[in-house]
Amino acid sequence: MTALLDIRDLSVRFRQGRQSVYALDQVSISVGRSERVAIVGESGSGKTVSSIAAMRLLPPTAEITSGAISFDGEDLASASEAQMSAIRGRRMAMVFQNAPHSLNPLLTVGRQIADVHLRHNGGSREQAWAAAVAALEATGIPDAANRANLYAYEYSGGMAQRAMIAMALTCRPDLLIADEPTSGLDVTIQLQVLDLIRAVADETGAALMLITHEIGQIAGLCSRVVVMYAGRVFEDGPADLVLSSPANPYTAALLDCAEPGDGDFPFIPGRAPDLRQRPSGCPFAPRCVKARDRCRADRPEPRSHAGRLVACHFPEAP
Amino acid sequence: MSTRLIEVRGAVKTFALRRGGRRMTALDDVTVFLDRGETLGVVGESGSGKSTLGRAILRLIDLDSGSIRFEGAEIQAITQAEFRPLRAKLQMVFQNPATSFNPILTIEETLIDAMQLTPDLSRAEQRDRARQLLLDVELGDRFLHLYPHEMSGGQLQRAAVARALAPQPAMIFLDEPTAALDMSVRGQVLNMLRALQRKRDTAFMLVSHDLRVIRGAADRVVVMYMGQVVEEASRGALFERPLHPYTRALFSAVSAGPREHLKGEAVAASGPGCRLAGRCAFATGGCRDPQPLTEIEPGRRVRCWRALDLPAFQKEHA
Amino acid sequence: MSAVDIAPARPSLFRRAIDRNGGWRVAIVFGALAAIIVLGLLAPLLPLQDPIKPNPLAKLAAPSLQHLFGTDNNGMDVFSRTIYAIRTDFTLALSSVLLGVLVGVPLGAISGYFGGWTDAVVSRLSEVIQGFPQILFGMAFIAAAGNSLTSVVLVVAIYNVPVYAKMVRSVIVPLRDIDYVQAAKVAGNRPMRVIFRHIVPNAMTPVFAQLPLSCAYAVQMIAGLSFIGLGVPIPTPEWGSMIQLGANYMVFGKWWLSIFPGLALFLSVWLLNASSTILQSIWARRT
Repeated sequence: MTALLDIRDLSVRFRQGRQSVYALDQVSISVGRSERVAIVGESGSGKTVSSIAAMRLLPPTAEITSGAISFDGEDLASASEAQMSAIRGRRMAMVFQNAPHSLNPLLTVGRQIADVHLRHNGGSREQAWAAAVAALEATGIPDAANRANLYAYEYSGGMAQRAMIAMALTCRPDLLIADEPTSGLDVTIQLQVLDLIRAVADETGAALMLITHEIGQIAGLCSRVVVMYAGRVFEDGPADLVLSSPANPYTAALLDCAEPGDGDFPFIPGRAPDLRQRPSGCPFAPRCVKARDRCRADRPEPRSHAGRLVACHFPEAP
Repeated sequence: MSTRLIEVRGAVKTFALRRGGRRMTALDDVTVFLDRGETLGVVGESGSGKSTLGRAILRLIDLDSGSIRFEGAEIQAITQAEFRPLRAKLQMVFQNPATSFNPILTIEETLIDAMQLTPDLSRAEQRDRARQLLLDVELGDRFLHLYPHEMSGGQLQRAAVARALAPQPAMIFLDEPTAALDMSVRGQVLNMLRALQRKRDTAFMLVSHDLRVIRGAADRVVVMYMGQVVEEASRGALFERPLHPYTRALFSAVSAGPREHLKGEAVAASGPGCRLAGRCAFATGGCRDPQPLTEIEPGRRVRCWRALDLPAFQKEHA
Repeated sequence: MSAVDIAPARPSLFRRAIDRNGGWRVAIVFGALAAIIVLGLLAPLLPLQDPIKPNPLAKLAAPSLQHLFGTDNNGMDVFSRTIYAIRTDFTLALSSVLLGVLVGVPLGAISGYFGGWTDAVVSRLSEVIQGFPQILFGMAFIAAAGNSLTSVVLVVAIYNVPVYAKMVRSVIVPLRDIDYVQAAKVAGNRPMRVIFRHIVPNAMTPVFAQLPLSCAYAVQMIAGLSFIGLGVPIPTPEWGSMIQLGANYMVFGKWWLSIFPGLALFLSVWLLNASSTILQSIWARRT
């Protein structure tokens, strides 16, 4: 069955003066119809770049040096801007983090959603406005008719996030990409936002690509997990399998850090590699407790192992 | 009774949201104390007043009313010039390491700047002390000559602790010290903090919304919501039996038991009653009355008249 | 173990300038600027015609081998005057602007940091100074202070003070609340040290950007004053005055009086601008 979103061997590089930052290195991620995938990683892992690349929203300093991106069989890398405009918003929508700052500060929230509606669904301004208010209501914003007339800075973090989700769903897209949708929000609000995303995915049957560094958010929402590090995919498999018995040492270490027991807090010594150089061998080798010579010399490719894909020469035995 | 290290009584602080606009209450009659050598955990989310409390103690902001005593002496009502020598005793670690260091100074220069309140040190002695401080936070000599942008978040945060230790303080206020760090490096900073707790008799006021951090480091805990203290207990007692509905909701978000989530968003008080009433699943008519902070047993206070009547909090499904 | 002296290998300022701007650009910009300044410094030693000796027999002569840039309405050699003017213009413009910066930046920093009535006073004074038409202000000042080059420098400096004060003030206000400034307070720094050691050095980028432009305006203002007899005394070569004077003769087709000093001014300002851009690029330590 063709995947809905298929990123294959994608490499992305950012130019910085005379230097380059190698943000993605042959990354393959696929999201099937109605599938819910979590992309997990820390800063510099490439998780956000992957999603922005999928939407073809990379800045001019970025360059796709290899690989392909396709959506529902259609090649995105060579699509024209007009073709992309038709896909973005209507078939593939994105929710960003820090919502009050990701919404247009000069237009009322209602107007922004109405504009998206008009752009993709046509109709009159009145219809679009009514649809916008309905969308805000559907995401649980109280007093939506009045709130639609407010500006983004007048919304609290949680409400703005709901408004963003409302905007993303205006056209009932096939794929919803949520980039750290709960970062910066209070814990109690985070749960509400995640509940909303789940409800929306349930109702519309949309596929979900949830980018997060909070492992606790995955269980119950996503069926598959992709773990990224330094621009590479390290592990990719069913969520309950990966989270309960991780095969890649990095995944295992990360899970330890997320659920510390009593006693000393676990951590991973060292720091993520500088992506201005392309490391030889496995990028995690300098910090990995299981690293051997082969790891430093030879970069592991994702291979099938114990019901998932792992990029490691010495994965944990099941 | 030996003098407490810090005593905050009846602290009130409001901010105007816009010029001449509505006022927001950050601290609403807050009374909190800190003993020598103890670590007080302050749990709260945005709007709770936790950061304002620390900044008021450090005289970065001034209270509208209320008193703050350090070693028995009033420090709120004195001038900045009179307060200056006391600054050596009261230090702070900020949340975001990227913005808490002056980008034009090396770490050594920043550390030496932090020693200015302990005079009578020759230049050579200052440099020696800088080196020793870095050792205390497990950073090598090479960091002395680095600029902040050349260091990772985890390294910078440890340097921030070194800076706070430079004038040999009696108390360090840490405002969400690991919230801005990647999950895999938080543990290193927290372990280092615990080692410092064991080795020195510095008191710590540790603000975090993350219960895992509080459980690992605090002796006693205070929970704040919308400018008020809603619960106060020893760490063991709080983690075994959270009482206040807000505390319960925070615990529920990270445990596997039946959900006790709050609805809606945090809103400013509209009457004298409980600030949480609009969101609390257990709210009844009696919650509209003013809720005093009641001591139910020595060292244990709750601001909820129903807390003891509620079914016990369940960490896991039965 | 003298580990304390291990400093990391970092590219030198020079290296940084080349990495961020390209070797050719750095060489051309600074090379050309240096050449102009050296030319001005060495002017008396060069085989140039006397720049202030009037020659009634050769008035308004077009450019020729004898007078490379022609002669002006007094018969003075425009080429020699253009080169000698380097001394006048660079000295006057740079010193007056730098004086304005030296006073304006601290004023802006202090008024921005403290707010309240210091801010109100500085803002109102700035408004008054900037509200004055340049020439009137110059006339009033020079009438009071006497007609000398020092007065000219002071007038232009005072005119620049509000520009830099306002600029620095607007950058200071958001920096007041940034964490490292709060940390500086917690460390015990007194307000003046917080302002000048911690905030101002981080607020200098727009100042560097504005400096060359202020120099260009300074030359313009000096020219205007010289034109009405205040400021630079008549025979002293100065681009602004040369351009203004020559403007009258453009109509008659005598283009060389204005164009050559105009080009020299344009080139100097452009080079100052370019060098300021390069300096800004290396001021930020981040790679």
